[in-house]
Amino acid sequence: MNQLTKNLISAALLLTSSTVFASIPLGGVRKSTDGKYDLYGCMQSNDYYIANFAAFQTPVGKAIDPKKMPPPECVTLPALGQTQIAVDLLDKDVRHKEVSMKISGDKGEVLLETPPTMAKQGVITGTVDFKTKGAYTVVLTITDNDLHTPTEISALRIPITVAMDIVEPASKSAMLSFFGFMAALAIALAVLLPRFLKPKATA
Amino acid sequence: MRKLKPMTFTSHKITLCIVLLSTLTYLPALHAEGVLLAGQPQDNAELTKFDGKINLSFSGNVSERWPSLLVVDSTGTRVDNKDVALVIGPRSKLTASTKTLAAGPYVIRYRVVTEDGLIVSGIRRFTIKN
Repeated sequence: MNQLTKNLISAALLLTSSTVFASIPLGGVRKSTDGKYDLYGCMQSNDYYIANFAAFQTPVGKAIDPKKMPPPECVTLPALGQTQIAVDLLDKDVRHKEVSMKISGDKGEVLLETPPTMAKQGVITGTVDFKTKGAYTVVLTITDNDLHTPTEISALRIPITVAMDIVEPASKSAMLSFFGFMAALAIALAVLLPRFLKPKATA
Repeated sequence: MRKLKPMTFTSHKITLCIVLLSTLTYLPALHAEGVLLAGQPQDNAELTKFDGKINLSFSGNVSERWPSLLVVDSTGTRVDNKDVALVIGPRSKLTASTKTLAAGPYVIRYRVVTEDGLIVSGIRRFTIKN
């Protein structure tokens, strides 16, 4: 094999491998913040970083089976209990920086705090047991030695809700009220009308 | 009747075919994925004059979702005007402007997302000299 052929092969390999490093693909179709399923899934970003959030919940009393993971939820978690949080770090450079994850409640109580680690595979995970419904915040703190921005400024904050009551749309409530009223009226008429029409006994 | 010469594939021909196939495979991927093609200031540029404009060009089907471009100084303080703009086209342009910058090193952080759901983000540096 002559030198030219060797060089050509090297160039081709470099070219094809560069596409791999050019960008980071998403993991497939996932539930988004508005509850719809699309390619982008549960994308969360600020000016500094971008990540894909996923929460895996199992029914209360059942342990999380990594082989049978339920479909991931986005930021609106339907139930309390054991929840596995997984965040895909979509910025390539962040995979070479120390990242920590903290989950806290709206009163400041900390449910989970992971130590700063380099997520070379691009995923940071943690398991948390949500015992009370409410609003929580997942905070990703990146020690960025390129930007040197204070982490409290650059941190990616993901607000989530857990087991919050679903408010029915007004139109649906109105329809239910109407049918309830009509049913009550029909029952009342069925009971009272025969009595009212019954001829009174004369002395 | 003239006898046809049997076709022979030498190792050189095979490797050349591989090279051609690799290149042909790469070219459409380059278009689809979205790659940073060029930018002003250039990466690791040392400038004596800076007009306060950051301009990055991307190939591929860049989407309007989640674009970002920020500039920080050596202390990590943002010095851009938070006016990032993305113009979609055959060469999509991501732009922003900065405040008047003093001499020193600066870092640009950029991000675009393609219609295929690919994240193209990274860091570039430049230095302003006296």
